Amino acid sequence: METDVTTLLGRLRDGDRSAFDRLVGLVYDELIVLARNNLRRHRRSPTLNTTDLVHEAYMKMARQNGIDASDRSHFLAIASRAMRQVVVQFARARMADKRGGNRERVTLECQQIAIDDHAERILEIDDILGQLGDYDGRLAQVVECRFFAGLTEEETAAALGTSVRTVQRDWLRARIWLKKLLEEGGN
Amino acid sequence: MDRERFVSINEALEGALAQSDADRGAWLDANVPDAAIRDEVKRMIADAMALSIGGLPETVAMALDRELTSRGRRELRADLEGSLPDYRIGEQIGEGGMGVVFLAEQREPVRRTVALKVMKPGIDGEAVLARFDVERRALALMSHANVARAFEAGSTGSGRPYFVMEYVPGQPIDTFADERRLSIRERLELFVPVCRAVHHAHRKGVVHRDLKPSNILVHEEDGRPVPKVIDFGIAKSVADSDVESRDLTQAGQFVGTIAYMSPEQLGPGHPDAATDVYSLGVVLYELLTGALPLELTGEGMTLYAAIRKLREEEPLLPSVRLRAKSEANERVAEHRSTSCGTIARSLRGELDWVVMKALAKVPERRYGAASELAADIERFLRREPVLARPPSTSYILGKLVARHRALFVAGAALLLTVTASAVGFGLLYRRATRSEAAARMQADRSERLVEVQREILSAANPETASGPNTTVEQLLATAEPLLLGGELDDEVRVGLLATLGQTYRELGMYEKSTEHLSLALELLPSGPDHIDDRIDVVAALGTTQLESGQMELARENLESALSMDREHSGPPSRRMRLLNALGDLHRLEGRLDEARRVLDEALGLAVPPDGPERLDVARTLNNLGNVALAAGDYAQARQKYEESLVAKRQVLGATHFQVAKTLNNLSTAETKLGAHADAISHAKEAIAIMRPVVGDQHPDLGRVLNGLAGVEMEAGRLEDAELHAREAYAIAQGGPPLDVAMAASNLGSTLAQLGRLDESIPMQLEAIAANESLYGPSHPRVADCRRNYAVMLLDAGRGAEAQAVAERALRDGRDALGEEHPVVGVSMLVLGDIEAALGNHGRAIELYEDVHRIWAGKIPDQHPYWEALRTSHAKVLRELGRDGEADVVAEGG
Repeated sequence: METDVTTLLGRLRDGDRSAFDRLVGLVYDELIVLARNNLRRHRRSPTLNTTDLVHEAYMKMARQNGIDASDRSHFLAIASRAMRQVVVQFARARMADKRGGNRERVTLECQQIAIDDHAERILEIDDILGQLGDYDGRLAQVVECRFFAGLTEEETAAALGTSVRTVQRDWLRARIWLKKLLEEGGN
Repeated sequence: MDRERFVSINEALEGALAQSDADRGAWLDANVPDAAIRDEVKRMIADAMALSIGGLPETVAMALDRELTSRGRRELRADLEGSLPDYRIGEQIGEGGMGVVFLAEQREPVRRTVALKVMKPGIDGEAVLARFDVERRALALMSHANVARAFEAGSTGSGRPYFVMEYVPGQPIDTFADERRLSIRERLELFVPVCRAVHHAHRKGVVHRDLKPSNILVHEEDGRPVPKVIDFGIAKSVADSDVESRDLTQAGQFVGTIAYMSPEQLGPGHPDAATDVYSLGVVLYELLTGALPLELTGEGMTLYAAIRKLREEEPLLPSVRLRAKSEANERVAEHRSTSCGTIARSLRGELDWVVMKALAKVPERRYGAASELAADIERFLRREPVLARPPSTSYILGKLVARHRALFVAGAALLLTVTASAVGFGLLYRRATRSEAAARMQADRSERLVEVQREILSAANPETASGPNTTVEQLLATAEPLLLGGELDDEVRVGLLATLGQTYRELGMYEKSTEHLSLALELLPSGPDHIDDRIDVVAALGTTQLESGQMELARENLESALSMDREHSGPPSRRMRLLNALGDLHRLEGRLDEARRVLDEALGLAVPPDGPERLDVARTLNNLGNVALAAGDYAQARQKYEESLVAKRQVLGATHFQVAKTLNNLSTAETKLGAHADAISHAKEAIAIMRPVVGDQHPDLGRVLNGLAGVEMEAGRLEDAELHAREAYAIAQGGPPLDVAMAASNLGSTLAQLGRLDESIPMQLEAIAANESLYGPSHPRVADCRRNYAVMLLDAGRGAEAQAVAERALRDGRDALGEEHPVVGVSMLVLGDIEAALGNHGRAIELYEDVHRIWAGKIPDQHPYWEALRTSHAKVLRELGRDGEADVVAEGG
């Protein structure tokens, strides 16, 4: 089985989409370890600083695998998908602990996602994204980058290979959908 | 929310958000006829706006967004204020790939409003400034009313380069033109001074290198629009120092603007003034048509794919782009205060050539200077002949041949298939024989087309081909402007559109196929003279719809074509094709008897079977194999496929795409029969044929990979299976829901067998949902998925849930397939295992015994299913202490 990051990135550059999913898996493994360490350090109020995690994972993997700086944008798209899976994984675990989370409105500080309090909301968002992604893949990708990975508009544009203007438009549209569908789900 | 409703709202939402706040209501009223959708969108936007402004409780994402941006901005602002004491930093007015732009008030030595552009961190400040120093002298020499001046450059305390420029209180040229609803003529008039400004800079030795609408700002002076080009000297400084080796992989920083980059900028060439001419061409194309010359967004479009596209694909002519009727184009027309048809007409011909000359891939074929582009536009505005000419056919062909030499073998094969299917070129031949009076002219046309085709084909000399390195898809995209361009009349165009439409279908590009075929149908004259053409085009459209899963439309069109054909009898091969397509449709919708009846009728039309309709016979045999497969008669299916394969190989050769399809089907039947080694080798043979012809994204390739993954899974080669299932799943994204359903299901099962239940269970749920949306909740396919899901639940220790799911699967399977179908046996086996795990041994044994009975004579002895059944059955018997019976069962008694 091929697990070499640089080889996979090469295949992705050549348009091999399967490499994307395999890379997501690899980055996921990396992120979840970093995230667990991170949470262990902040046991009192478990929050994930997703932006930092993504960048930390990049630094680490770039160091270990000699990733070309030019692959950074690819990496960001990959890491955003993986980060979504990480966040959802934590939220699931949390829900399993709690058997019934709290449904209050979520407010977040910075790019930190307070999984503890918002596990259910996060799973709802993930669910809605699943649907949004089926209907309009770009919307889900933008949310992965902006929300789950906390990327800036420029980074998101680079990651998705599109313009900042498109990112802004899609992000606004995605948020409007999220809000609507979250509220419908809550009723 | 169902897809249809989502799409309606989403489209309206996207359109509405593109409007200014003031125009939004009117836009919605004008463009969204459905009042419910309209009100929904208005409410959604109003809600969102109220939230972000009013300080009410915010949603997750909005709070996040606000915080993210404001924190970074505070830091940046502090950095700037510390480094630039002579300036008062105002509001942020822009943000781009390279940096952020602030409005600033300069206090010393002169008092003026300036734009302050700060580069993003990560760009090497010293190198940028060194480059800028080189440019500075040239920049100082520039003085043009349409060039914004650059005043100074430096770096902040934290090392970010910044530039101080003349502030232009305007809008990007495309936004400006759309908001003012400028006509085509007004747009051209606005664009001419932009070209002149760029030329002025070139004469001073300054190349811009990043021309795009957001760098061409328009403001009004004395009520007249004045465009100004900003960022001269800056883009180049940043680019040169950052892209030191001009390694295109370094272009990541500029991914947002590669759409405007010239091919040489994206490759090893040397960017100079010709590069700016190209970028001007892109801006002009966008101003005229409202779209970029090449679509660069969309599912699966990586940076590298985009770059390749920019370097190799020819854009559609602007007039052709606008002729396709679509909502987006209606909007474009409205912004230009006119209609689509009018624009298309005004662009067609000379203006097309002007734009295409600016956009030539090779710098030498572009205008020699930006001023020449300006001059040609002015000629057009004065109604004088322009200098730009349409590229000659021989030039385009030469270029095609040079660039695509390697793929012509494959391309030829596909084009020949299309010809054989008679829709496109056959249509023209037919017309040639229609009436004596028109015959000569039509014959000329047909001859020309055949000539073009022959030229393409003759270039496909296998001896000079050096191995496939590009795809037919690219060939088509390159050929499209040639085929649809100015030199052809509408009758010829219908034939070509039909041909392209069919070829696109073969490539799995269903939207393009539908687009071309619908346009062909639209251009096709009505009346009895054209009935044969109509039958062909309607049938082709129906087939595309069938393949893309639009079953109702497909049935409507295919049945309409068939009834026209029965009324106006044509060649037997045509009716065979129609019957085949219809048979396929019946099969896919589960009406197997009807499918068999229709296909038998088709087979009966070919007399003798190895006569001229031999290829149609081969297809029919293949489809009968499909029906047998669906009915669970795998041995019969295998036999039909083998017969079909022999015929196809004889007619088409061993490496034709159609051969690959049947190989794949054969592989499926062999999988079902437990002949894993044969199945794997046939699937791999199919893949080896397909990849070089259709590229790595073709839906059919995904389907074969999916099948391969399935048999590898059954053969226990799980790592191979995962690899292939993932590739299939990736290809399926954005494709027809059917592919998503199959790929998700296979990947789910593979992951489950690898013991990765946390990944497999959600994947399997996706598969069930996708299948339900396709077939309804009780279809056998959904039942298959549920059964697999039940196995996963059982493995995950969720026995009670597994039981409910498996029972549902069994019930639905029986209702749809009958009590005795082998697949029903599989569901019973699974349910038996679950019952056994839950301690219901008696029930489990009953189920196992029924499975024995059902499978006897239908599933071959060596099939691994038997092994699974015997193991399960014996295990339960042993748990009950009935070891003697267990031994008999385990031995196969």
